[in-house]
Amino acid sequence: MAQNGFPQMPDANKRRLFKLTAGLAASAAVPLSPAFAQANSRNVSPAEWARIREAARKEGKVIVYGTMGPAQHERIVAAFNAANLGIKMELVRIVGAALTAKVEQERVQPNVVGADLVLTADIRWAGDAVKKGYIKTPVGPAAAAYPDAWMRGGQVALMAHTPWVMHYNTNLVKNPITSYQDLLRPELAGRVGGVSLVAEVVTLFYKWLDESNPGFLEKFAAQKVKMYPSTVASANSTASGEISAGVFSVIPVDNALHAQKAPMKTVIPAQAYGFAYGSAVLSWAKNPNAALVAQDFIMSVQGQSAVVGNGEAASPVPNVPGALDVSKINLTLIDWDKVTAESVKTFEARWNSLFGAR
Amino acid sequence: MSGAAQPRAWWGSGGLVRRKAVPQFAWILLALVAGFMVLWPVVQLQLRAFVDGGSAFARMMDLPRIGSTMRTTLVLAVLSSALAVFIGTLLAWCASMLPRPVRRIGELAPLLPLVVPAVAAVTGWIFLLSPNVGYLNMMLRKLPWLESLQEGPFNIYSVTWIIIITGMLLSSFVYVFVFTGLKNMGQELEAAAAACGASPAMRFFTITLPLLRPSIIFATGVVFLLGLGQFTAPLLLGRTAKIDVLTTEMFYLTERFPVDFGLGAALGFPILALGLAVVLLQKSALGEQKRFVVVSARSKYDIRETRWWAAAVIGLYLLITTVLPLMALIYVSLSPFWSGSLVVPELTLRHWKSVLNNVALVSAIWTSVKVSVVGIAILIPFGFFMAYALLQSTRIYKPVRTAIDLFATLPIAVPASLMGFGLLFVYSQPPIQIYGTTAVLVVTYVTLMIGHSTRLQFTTLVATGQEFLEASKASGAGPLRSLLQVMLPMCRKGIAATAALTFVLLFHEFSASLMVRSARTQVIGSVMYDVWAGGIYSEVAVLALIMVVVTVLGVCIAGWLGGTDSAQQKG
Repeated sequence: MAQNGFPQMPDANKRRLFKLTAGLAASAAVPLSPAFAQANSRNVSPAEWARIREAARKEGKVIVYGTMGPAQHERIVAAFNAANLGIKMELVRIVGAALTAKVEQERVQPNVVGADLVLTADIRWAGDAVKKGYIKTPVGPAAAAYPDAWMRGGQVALMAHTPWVMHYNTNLVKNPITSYQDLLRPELAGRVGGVSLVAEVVTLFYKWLDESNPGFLEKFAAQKVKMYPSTVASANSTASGEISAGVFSVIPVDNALHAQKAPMKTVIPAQAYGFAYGSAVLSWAKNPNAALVAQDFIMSVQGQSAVVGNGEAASPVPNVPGALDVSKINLTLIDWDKVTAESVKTFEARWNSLFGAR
Repeated sequence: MSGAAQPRAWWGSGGLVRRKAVPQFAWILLALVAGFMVLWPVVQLQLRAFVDGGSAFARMMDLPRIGSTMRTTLVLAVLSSALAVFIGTLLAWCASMLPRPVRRIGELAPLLPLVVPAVAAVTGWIFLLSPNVGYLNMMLRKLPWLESLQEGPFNIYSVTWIIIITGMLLSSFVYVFVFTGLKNMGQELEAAAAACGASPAMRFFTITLPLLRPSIIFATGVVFLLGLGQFTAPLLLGRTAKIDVLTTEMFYLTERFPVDFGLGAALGFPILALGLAVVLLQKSALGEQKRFVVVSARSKYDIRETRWWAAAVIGLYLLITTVLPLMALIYVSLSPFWSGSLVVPELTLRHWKSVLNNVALVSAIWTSVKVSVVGIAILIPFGFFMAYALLQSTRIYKPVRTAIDLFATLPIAVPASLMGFGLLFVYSQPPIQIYGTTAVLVVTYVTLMIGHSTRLQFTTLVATGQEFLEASKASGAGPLRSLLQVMLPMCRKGIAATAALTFVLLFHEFSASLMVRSARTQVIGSVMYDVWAGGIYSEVAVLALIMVVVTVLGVCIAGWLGGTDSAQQKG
């Protein structure tokens, strides 16, 4: 493993992982309605692509709303602007479910100059948005080459497969933490942190934790967990020593603190759960051509390299430098086909009763 | 007067319609504009709470821990305002006993916490009093009798500390009112009591305090309303410890789609009802508003004994409320990351560079400055005419004057977060769809501050007196000329002081801004929340310090425009 101090992944269950990812890929690729069959062509003629790029240059800028880590966003903007496409990218970071709320508010506000392109973790919303015609089909050379299996509804490009990780402060925790069960140690009572239900993926993480470790959540709640409004806030609190360990983080966020020599260790659990981000061009984009060009860039090897950084996430595009090699970890991704609003709401109520928080 | 020519009004001196109806029409128009701005969002929002047979209230009662949320809201309002009144009155008393060498600076010192935005102060306090790695806590744990503690002794993420910090933040407001009352109060009664052998404490409790009752009642009402709508401290401190108040519940609604405006209205209803009740109580307790304005001649004698310990009390207050949080902010802004170590790390300007190179953050800072300045440009004349109208006891029809009075009072009674939620509702749908534009921020700021602008300028107008205006009119000047050449120059310092205070309040505005902002139309307070929620504490510290610097600059500029002592005018 290339990352800071990640434990070696056990060899077991690799096949199961590939089955799961392949299954997810297959389900993601299934067209949602016959109408998509015609709309899903991402391959356009060179002349048409040149026309789009010229129109994009005239638009001059693209506005992106994203919910990835700050460092990932900085890399994407830097790489895009360095590509010299004649378009300036403005990337606004919005944490959690607020991204969906802002995008939906803008949809019904014709005067607002808002997002053209979104990088969201809310794939259930993105899937619904495809059905409602809110999303434009990505086009361009990279979009055409993008694996069909990772196109949700044929229009949302799934990328940056990211495992959820734990972390702990090495000054405060001398006996290494290697599994979720380790967070139940008595000495960690009142000194372990989590992230409150700021986004649906967070809810789904706790739901998975609950289902894959029966009885764990009750014991974890009894540890008087401190809840934070974001992954970055939780990670910074671990780095500062305000809490000794955190149950919920992602590698890009932790890496930013490792780079500053924070006394912190990141742990990918033996059985890890994770998610992918979805990149989608909005049908009401004020800069539609620039959004398509930006989307194509992000789907390219160059763009994916910026997204994945140094082993922070995996990419469905082959041969992306720095991509996390998921074959070396036992990663299960969220199966969005099984996620319903009702199941999320039901679990939220259970979580609220356990943690006394939102 | 009989020989003087009839003054010629700017609208002419024609018939009855021109002389009587046109001015009344102008006042009615003023009342309508103010009424629309203030009432429209509140009424429209509250109507949402009662549609579908009041189902929003049922949804509110289904919220997890709603009982605890309501209880916390009330406890916070009562205890923080009680603490603020205690501290503010104590400070005013101490300021009245300051020795001459430190009197001028000592009287200003309790106002300095107003320069530090609440969001910055709370962030500074997090760095100081986080249970495990707060710098103050770590230092205290080095004391012999506390060294056995693993954490604490204080936990900032608790209701107790939310109350203490809110009380301290509000105490400056109490000081403003009580100290003004104290300064304008004659000292003859105190002198008589002193001659009879009463100690300073005895004189304070038996003479000074009862005489200050109107100021204290008014201040208590104001800080209770502010405490009731308190948002910053519960939002920043409550989440980790799972403490919510009604305003934070409303804010969380704006983070989800579709925004449940009915539920938000239901959550705001108890605050609104209680706020209006407090304002009515306040009015009935104090009677006619002109009683607040004490313009009696001051005593020739300054008989209060001076005490150096009074200066020490004010110094301690300044240290706790301002100096320590600012020091913590500076330290964290220069640290690579917020570390739980008292050992000075390798200091870096990385976070300053990061903030100043971040287009979105710099743009938010500029938007704050621009929106505040535009807001002031609208608020000063708007508030001036509202205040002028309130002074016209016979020249304006009473219903119009009463309406203007109501519209100047309502924004003070309605918490900023609730008003912001209402503004988000009305301005994100037809007929006025300005959500996502800078205009919505300007409208928000004007709506929030119209009451303050009116009340502050009302005080100035009363203190200036009507005699000069009457003299100007008697000399043949029309209303416009009298206004421009007599009243405005005389009120210049008061207006500048109002502008300075309004700039501070607008630039620090957090609650309503967070409600109405869109992803790209942000002010410094709202981006600071995003950076805080995003967890990059060193950048939060940088933004907080930028807020302080810009505030000081804004106050200095307003003071310079209005004359040297305009900043003290309201004090």
